[in-house]
Amino acid sequence: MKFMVEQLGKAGERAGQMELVVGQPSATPFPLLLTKGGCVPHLTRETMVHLNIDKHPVLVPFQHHARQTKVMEKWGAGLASFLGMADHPLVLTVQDPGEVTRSGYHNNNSVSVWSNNNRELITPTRFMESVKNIKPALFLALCDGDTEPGCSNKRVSKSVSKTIDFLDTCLELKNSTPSLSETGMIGAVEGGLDMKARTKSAKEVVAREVDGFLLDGFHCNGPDSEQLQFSSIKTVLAETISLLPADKPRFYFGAASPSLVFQLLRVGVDMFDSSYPSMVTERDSALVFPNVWKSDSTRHSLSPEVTDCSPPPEGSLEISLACTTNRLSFTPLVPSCTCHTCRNFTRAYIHHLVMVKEMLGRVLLQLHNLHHYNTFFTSLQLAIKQDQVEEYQELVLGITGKDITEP
Amino acid sequence: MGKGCGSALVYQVVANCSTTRARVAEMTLPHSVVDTPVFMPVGTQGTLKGLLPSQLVSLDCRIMLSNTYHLGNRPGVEVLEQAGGLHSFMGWNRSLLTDSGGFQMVSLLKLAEITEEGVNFESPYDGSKCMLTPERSIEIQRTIGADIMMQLDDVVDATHSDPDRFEEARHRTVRWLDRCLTAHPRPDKQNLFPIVQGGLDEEKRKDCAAQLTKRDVPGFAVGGLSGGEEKDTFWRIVAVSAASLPDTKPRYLMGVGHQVDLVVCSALGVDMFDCVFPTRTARFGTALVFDAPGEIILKKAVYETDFSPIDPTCDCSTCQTYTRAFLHTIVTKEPSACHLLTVHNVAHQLRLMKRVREAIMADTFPAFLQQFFLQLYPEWAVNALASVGVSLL
Repeated sequence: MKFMVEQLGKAGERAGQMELVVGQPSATPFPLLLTKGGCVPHLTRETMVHLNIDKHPVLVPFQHHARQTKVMEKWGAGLASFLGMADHPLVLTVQDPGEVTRSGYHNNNSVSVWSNNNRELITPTRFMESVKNIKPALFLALCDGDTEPGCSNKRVSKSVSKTIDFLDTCLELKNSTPSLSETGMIGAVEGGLDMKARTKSAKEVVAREVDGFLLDGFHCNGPDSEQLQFSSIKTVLAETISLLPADKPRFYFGAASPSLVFQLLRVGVDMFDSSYPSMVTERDSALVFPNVWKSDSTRHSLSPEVTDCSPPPEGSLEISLACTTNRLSFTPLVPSCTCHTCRNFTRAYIHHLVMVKEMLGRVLLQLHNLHHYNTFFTSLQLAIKQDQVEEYQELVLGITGKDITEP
Repeated sequence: MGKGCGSALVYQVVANCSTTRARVAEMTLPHSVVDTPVFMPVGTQGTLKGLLPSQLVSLDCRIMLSNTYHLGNRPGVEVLEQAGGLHSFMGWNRSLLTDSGGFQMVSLLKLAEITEEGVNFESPYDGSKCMLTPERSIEIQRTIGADIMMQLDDVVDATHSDPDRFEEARHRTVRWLDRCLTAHPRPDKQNLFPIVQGGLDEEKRKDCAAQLTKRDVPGFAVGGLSGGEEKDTFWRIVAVSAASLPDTKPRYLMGVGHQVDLVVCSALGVDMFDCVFPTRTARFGTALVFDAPGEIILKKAVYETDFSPIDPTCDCSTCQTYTRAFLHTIVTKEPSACHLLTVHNVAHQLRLMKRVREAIMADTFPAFLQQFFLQLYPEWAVNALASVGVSLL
């Protein structure tokens, strides 16, 4: 994997290029497309075409595939092709950021992953055996991030030490597996909210040969990650990142709403995932916040969807399609949006689908939400290059100043 | 009696099977040209189970069904009217057929009482007393705007015990047809089909067909045969009903059916079919195939390492991309599995009908039928019997 920071915003935001697969660079920051069970929720290869991002890198949680070792071995051609995503660079993480990771169930030699209510004990050896068959472009070394705020010091310290041990084993096995020589590996930095533990973890990971870092252990995934208060993790996170080298990418997995994205960008995060828009879909809602950055000096280089960028009513990032105000609304979710849903369907129709619990409702919402989120990141890339992230933030959130206090 | 015929349907027979009563025709409707015999997938609530309309266009689906009863409740007439009709509301530019709402009422509602005026029922939403009359059914269907509408008929479960009920039903059906025709305001933009009833009595069926044929209508449906009636009786009634209807107009067998039903009834002269089975069974993880036994239950362990597509001869997007082994991991677990199987099952049914039409056009339909059934028989039985001198052709 190759990564390069190209530009810095004045508050520390980074715009760069990442090549997960040779010859296919992606501009950062951007969100990896999160899958569940091997599919982008509600979508198929045929409908994913409407997302209009060729070869969109996907994030696959090992959790959902832990029990597929037999079929992976027999298939022999790697998980991406098995999933019908052969042309999408595959990034393998351990736990699904879009689903709550069950706490507990620990032992010294392994991490527990849950797959359809079945628990699997994953040792680094077992993990690397799977990685060999999965053939990802990039993977996260097995780690223990079960350190919710309020957990014991012992738990935090265990998560740090186990993660370092696992990292070493994974690295050793990777280096002795020829087929993994070109595969990238990132290491998790753990330590909960304990600055000492974080410092130790960061220093140890930095000392190993990794291609990037995951800022893990701040939440336990799922809807709770959406409720994360940045103010409570800001100091620890910023300190931790200051210990990491500038030339390697920093990953953050978990629901990242626009305000969290701005804040994470400022502390130097490069990579995200699409759990946030997927969660919005699961609650039958659509993202509507202004996601197009228009700057007079580069108007001509923008995509044609720039028209109405006025901020939504105070504080609303999304609308609920279950709301009866949509019943007779024959306008698209977002009038200026060029996604397949907004070009072809109305709020009234989607409201109907939601009310009668028809699956197409979530398909249409997912197509829109992922498109909306991707477009937000494309705008972020541009805003960083123009060093106008603060202005863009004001447009999106209607808030000035660098510090956002959560409601 | 209102004028039932207009220019909203042109039915042109293109080929006749020289052995059976099957025929291929081109049916031109306001929104699309439909080649018959045709299978119409069912999109009950104004959507076909998670598929985008563009996916149906890719499958070359020309016509689909939607249900008046469901749509009349949700989203309701007001929304549909303001949306400019169902085509516009759901983003489907090809043809639509709606049923009258009568069947759902009788089968879904506990207290549906049929009187001469209409169907008396209690609203499932607030318990208030409602009445669905032939006129009201037409009004709702007009708002929906389907290319083909069905009359409100007095439908009786074919296994009903009382013969007098069938007698009453088929006469009332004719009277209700006349009321529907009078209420039908746009014969040049929408078609209205009457429905032949008469239970499992051949004479009653013939008589009912004779009555309906006297009216000026663009096509005919045959109803009351999609329940649990005994198959050996079923086909006889289908045959009689089809034979009693004019050759020059399409014949639609409502609620039928599975693969075997489709090919057999095509041979008996039926032109149009609909059935929820392919889309419903997709949700339960079952894929349709031509090989014995006609379907694959993908969650079975045997598919865990089966890296072939559902059907190697199928060119649908599912079969072009995914293996049985992958589908095995997601059926009944991920919503995407439903979509993938729905695409395949609809493709399968459409492909079957295309083969039926091609065989009729080439006048090789009997050979097609033999091959179709042979493929559906378990291969082991065919081989075993062949070894002792029994050929199943």
